[in-house]
Amino acid sequence: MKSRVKQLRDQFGWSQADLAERLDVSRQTVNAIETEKYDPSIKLAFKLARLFELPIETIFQED
Amino acid sequence: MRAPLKRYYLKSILPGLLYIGLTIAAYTLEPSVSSQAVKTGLAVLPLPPLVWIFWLYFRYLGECDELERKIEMDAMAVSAMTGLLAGYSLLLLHDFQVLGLNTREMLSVLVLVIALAYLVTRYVGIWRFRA
Repeated sequence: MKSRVKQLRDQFGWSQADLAERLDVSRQTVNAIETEKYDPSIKLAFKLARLFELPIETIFQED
Repeated sequence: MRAPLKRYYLKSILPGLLYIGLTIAAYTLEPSVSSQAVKTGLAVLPLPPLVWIFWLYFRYLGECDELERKIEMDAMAVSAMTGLLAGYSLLLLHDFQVLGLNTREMLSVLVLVIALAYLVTRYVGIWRFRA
């Protein structure tokens, strides 16, 4: 799954650790989502969407 | 190291020490006991601290984030499957008299294989998703 998390995080000026804290996950999880090694659960995807104030489909797209 | 893992390790120290102590006590007391019922009691004596550690592990799993939980679950699945395969292989090798191991040695090998499979898979998972 293509992810725009890194681009959005940069726009918000957050580090991976900042985003991890806001999502209540580890930095390892944020990094794995950004590098597309791991697809987040629907719950975490909704959390990201709420945080970035964007619809899920604009953050994640199918390959 | 994330806080839930650190908490799990710290909380496991007491039951771990209890387990070691009770195992030593069971081995020390066993030669002086003749009753089978008491021997059975001694054999299961070290188990409650292990159950305590398992309970702490399940609580830790509940505190993990989803990627950490996936790494743990993958490691448990691989170690369980490896245990089944290794157990079955050991059984056949024993029946075909390829291995000259007694029951105790076979069980020790099996436990070691399961523990190693868990540790290796867990560290491969951590390495694969490393930040």
